[in-house]
Amino acid sequence: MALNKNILLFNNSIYGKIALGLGIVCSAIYMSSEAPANGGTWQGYTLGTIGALIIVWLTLLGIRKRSYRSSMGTVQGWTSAHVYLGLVLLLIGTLHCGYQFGWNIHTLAYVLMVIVILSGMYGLWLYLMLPNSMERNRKNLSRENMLHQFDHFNQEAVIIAADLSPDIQNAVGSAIKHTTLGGGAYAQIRAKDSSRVSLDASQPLNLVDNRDQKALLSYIAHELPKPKHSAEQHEKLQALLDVLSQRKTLLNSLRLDMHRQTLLHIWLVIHIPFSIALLGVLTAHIISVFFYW
Amino acid sequence: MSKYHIVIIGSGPAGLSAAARAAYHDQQAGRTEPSYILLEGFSRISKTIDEYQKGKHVMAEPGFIDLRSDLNFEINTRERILDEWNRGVEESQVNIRYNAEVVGVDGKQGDFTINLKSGEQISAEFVVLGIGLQGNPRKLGVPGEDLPDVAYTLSDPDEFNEQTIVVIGAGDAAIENALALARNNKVYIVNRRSEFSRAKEGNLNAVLAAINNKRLDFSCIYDAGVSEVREYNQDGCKLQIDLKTPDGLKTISCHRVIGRLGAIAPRDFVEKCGITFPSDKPDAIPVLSSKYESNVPGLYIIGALAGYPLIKQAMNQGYDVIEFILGNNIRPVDHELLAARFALLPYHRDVEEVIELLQRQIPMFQQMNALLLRELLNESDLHVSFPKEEMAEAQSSLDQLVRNDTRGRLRPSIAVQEGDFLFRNEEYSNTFYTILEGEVDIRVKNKEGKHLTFTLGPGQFFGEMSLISGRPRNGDAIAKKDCIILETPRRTMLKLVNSNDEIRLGIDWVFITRALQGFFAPRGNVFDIRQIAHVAKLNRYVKGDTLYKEGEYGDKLFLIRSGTVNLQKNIGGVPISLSQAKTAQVIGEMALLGSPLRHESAIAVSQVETIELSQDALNALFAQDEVGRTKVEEAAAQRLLTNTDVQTYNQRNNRVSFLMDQGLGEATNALVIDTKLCVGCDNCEVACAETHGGISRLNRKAGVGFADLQVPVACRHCESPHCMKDCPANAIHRAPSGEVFIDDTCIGCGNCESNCVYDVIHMAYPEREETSIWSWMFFGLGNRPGEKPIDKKRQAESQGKKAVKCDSCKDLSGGPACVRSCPTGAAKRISPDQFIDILKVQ
Repeated sequence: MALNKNILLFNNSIYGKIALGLGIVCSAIYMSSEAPANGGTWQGYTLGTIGALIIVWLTLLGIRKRSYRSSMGTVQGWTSAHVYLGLVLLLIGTLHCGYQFGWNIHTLAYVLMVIVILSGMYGLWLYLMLPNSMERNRKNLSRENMLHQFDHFNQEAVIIAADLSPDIQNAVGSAIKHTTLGGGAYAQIRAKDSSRVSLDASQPLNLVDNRDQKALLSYIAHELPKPKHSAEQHEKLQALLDVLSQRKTLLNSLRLDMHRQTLLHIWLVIHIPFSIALLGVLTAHIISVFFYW
Repeated sequence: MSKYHIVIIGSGPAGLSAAARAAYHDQQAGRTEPSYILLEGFSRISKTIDEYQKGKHVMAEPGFIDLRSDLNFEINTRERILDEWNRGVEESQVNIRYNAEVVGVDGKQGDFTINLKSGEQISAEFVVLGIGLQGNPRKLGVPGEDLPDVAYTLSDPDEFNEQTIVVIGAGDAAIENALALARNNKVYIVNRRSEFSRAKEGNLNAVLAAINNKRLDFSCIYDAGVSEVREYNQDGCKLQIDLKTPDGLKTISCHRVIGRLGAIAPRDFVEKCGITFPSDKPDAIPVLSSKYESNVPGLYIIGALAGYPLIKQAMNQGYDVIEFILGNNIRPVDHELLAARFALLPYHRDVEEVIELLQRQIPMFQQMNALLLRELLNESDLHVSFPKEEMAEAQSSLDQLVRNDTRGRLRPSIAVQEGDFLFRNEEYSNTFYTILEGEVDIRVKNKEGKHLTFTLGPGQFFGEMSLISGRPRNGDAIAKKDCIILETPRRTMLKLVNSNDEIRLGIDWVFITRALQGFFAPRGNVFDIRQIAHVAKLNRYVKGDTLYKEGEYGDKLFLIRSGTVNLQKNIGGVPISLSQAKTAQVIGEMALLGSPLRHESAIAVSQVETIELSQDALNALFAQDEVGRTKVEEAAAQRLLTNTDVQTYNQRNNRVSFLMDQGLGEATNALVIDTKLCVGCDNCEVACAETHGGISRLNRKAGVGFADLQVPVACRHCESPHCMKDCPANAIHRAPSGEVFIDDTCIGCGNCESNCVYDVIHMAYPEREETSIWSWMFFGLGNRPGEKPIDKKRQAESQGKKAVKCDSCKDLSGGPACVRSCPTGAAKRISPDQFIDILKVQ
C-alpha cells in the first residue's frame, strides 16, 4: 500500500500500456490501407468497431461506479482504464474517420466524442491537481470545521464590538450580514467576492464594496490610532482587528475550497450529458452507415 | 407489623413475574388474604423500563429461550409492554404496594424484617430481591427535594415549552437533558465544579458551544450548590431555587427543577442485607445457588442484580424462584436446551447429573457457583470428536435432533472429526476453550517455519491469549481422539473472570506461563517457568500512560499481553513516533542487555497490559533455553534498525503520531483517506449506504485530517472492541477474518453506541429493500443510489431501532465497498503493520 498514487499510476499504469499497444495496433491497421483512408474500407470498419466498443465500455463506468456490490475490479481500476482508453479513443476515432469531415451526423458524432474527451481531459487535470492544493489550503481542517470556526469568529467579533461605539458595531454587524460566500453554481465557479459593508451607522443601507474584507479592516485599522478611545477600548479594537483578520484568512480559504470543490464536480455537467448524446448520435451513425451498403 | 410468607422487592420484570406466580398459587389454594407482597419504591411498575424514552422498542431476546411467566411479554414498544403488564397485574390481582421504598432487610429465613423508608416494618419468611442495577437516583439532599415539579428523570424533553428549567448536575445525563430542553425553553445548568470534567468529549463540546451561543437561552452556573427549593406561585413559575455560588446566594424562579446527579448503586444496599460479593469489581455478581438463593438462607436474588440483564430471563427467574420457595423442584426452562447440548456426550445421564459430574471433574468449574456454570454451559458450544468412521452416525443423530425441533431453538453439540482444526493460526476469534475430556494438540510455528506441538489434557484450557489480547490466534488447535471441548464466548468468559477472582488469577497465571514460554523458552521446563511466572508482574495501563520515559534508567523489560504501545523519541523538541509494539512483542529490552538508559519513551495508545520482568527473571528464562537470548537480541537489533530508518523518513512530517492520536494504535483495520487524491465525490459514503440498507456507517467529512491523511469517522475494528464491553444480548462478534459486527439479536439498548469512543455506532431503523441500479435507471423503481429511505416514521412504528456499524463488508466477496468504489484510490483500509509504509512517503 502506498500513499499519493494517482489513477494514472494505478497498477504500474497497466491500462496505459494496454492503451498504448492498442493505439499502435490501430495505427498499423490504418497504415495498412492502400486505398485513401475512409470509414468504409475494412480498416475503417475495424477501427470503427473498436472505437464504438470502447465508447460503450467507457460509459459503463457510470454503471460500475454505482454497482456497489460488484466484485468486478475496483472503481479505481476502472477509472484508470477509462482515462487511458478514453485518451486513445481520440486517436482511434480520428483514424476511423480518415480526416473526412462534413455537415452530417457522422461528423456530429466525432465532434461530440471530441467534446467528451476534452472535457474528460480537463476533469483528469482537475482530479490530479486540485486535491493536492485543496489539502494545503484546508490546513488540516475539514469544511465543517472551517464553517464552524467561521461562525465562531463572527460571534466573537460581535461580542467584542458590543463594547465599542455604535459605528463599529454597525460596521461589524453589517460586514457579517453582507459577507457573501458560495451561492449558486455560477457564483461558486466564479468565486467572486461581492461582500459589502456599511461604514456609517446613520446610513445602514449605504453599502460599499468590501471585497476581501478590505473596507472593514481598513476602517478598524484607521479607528485604532485615534486618540478618542480609552485604553480599554484600544485593547478591544486590537482584539477585534485580530479576530477580523483571522476571519478574513479563513474566508479566503473557504471561498477557495468551495470554488475548487465545485470545479471538481462541474466538469461532469459537460462530460456526462455529452456522453449520453454521443451514445445516441453514435447509434444513429451506425444505423445510417448500413444504408451505404 | 404485617406478616407475609414471601416479600418480593422491586417490580421490574423479575419481581412482577414472581408476584404473578405467587398470586397464581394463592388463587389455586383459594386463599383470600395474599401470602406475599410486592414492594415498589416508585409510583408505577418497572421503573427502569418506565424511564426508557417514549416509544422505545423493547426486544425479546434471547429468542431460543421460552418465556415462562404468568405475564405476557413479546417484542413491543415500551408503552404497550407496560400496559400489558399493568393489565396482567390487575387481572391476577397482584398484591402490590407502590411508594414503598425498602431501606433494609434484616433477619434470617423464616423471620425477616423489611424496613420501609416510612418507618413501617414488614415481616416475612422469604425475601426475593429483584431490584435491578439502575439503583435509585441521587436526590438533591436539600429541603424541597420531593416537591412535585422537582424531577430526577426526563423522558420527553418536547413535553416542555417556553418554561424556565434548572438542571442540576454536570454528567452526560444532565448535559443531554439540558441541551434537549434548551431547544424550546430557558435552561440553567448548575455545575458543582468549575468545569465539566465528567462528561464525554462530544457532550463537553456541545455544552460549551451552547453556553457561548447567544441565540440560545442557555446558561451555566459554575461552582454552585443547591441550598433549597421552595414552592412559589408567581409570574407563572411554580418553584424557586436557592443556589450557593461563589458570588453569594442566587435565587432563580422557575417552572421545573431536574436533578441528574447519578444513581446510588444497589450494591451498598445488597451488602447491608448481608449478601456477599466474590470480588470488589464493580460488575461482580453475588454468589447464588442454582435456585437463586444467596448466602443468606431464605433471601433470593433474581434479574439484573443476579447477572441476568435480559427481560425474558428475569421473568423466567421470577416464576422459578416462587416455585423453588414453595418447594416445587421444577426443571429450569433451559433444561431441554442443555439436554440437546449434551446430546453427543457418552454419559447417558440426566442434565443435572452431567453438570454435577463436570463440576467435580474440572478444576476451573469447582470454583464456580452452580448458576454461573449452568449459564456457561448454556452459552457455550460443546465439541465432541469422533473417529472418521463414526462421524456419519454422530452427524445423523444430530440431524435427527434438529429435525424434531420444530421451533428451531436447539443448539446441539457439535461433532468434529479427529484431527480437525478447532481454530487455525492467524484466525480472529476470541472464544475460550476448556477440555472436558480427551486431548488437544496446539501447534505453533516458530520463526524457522518448524512446527512445535504441545498436547493439553482434561481440565486444561486454551485460547486465553486471543481472549485477553483481541489478537488473532497464535497457532492451530487440533482435536484428538475422543475429546470433549467446551467453547465459551468472550462475553460469558469475561463475566466469569470479573466475578470470580480465583478463576481470573488462575487464567492469568497460565497466560503468563505460556506467554513466557512462547516468547523466551519454547523448550524450557513448564514447572520452572511457572515459578518464574509467579514473580512476573502484570501491569495495566490506560491510554496515554507512560510505561517508561526517554532519559530514565530502567531495569525492567515488558512483554505486551494486550494493547499497543507507541515508542517515541524527542527530536528537536518534537515527539516523533519510532514504532509501535503490539501483543506478544517485547519492549525496554535494551535496559537488560547492558544499556540501562532508555533511548525512547513508551506510551500506551490503547488500554495496555504488560508482563514486567526483572533482570533475575529474564536470566532465569535465558537459562531455560538459549533461544530466548538470541530472540531478544534479534528483536532489539530489528527495532534499532527500524528506528534509524524512521528518523530519516519522519523528521518533518509526523503522520504516525497523528494516527496514534486518532486511536489507530488499537485498530486492526482502519479507513484512511489520502487527501492528495480525494476529490470529495462521497462515493465511499454512498457505497456504504447502498450495501448497508441505506445507512452509511462512515462519515468522511466529519473526520480529522493531518497533512495528506484524513481519518474519517468509521469503525477501526479495535483489537479489544469497546463496543463489545456490555452488550446484554451478546450481539457483537468478531469474524474469523477480523471484522467486528453486530448480528440480528441486537436489542437496541444503545450500550455499544455510548461505549464506542470513536462515535462510529448509530441506532437506526432496520434495513430497507435494495433495488438494482438498472431498474432505477430504466423504470424509476426504488430509491436513487445514495437516497435516504423515505418512510422512516412508518418503519419506526413497526420495528425499533437497532445498532448499526461498519462490518468491513465481510459478506461481500470483493471486500469493503467504500474502498472498492473510490474512483481515485484515495480511500484505503490499513492495518497497523502498514503504518511504516505510510512513513516512507515524503
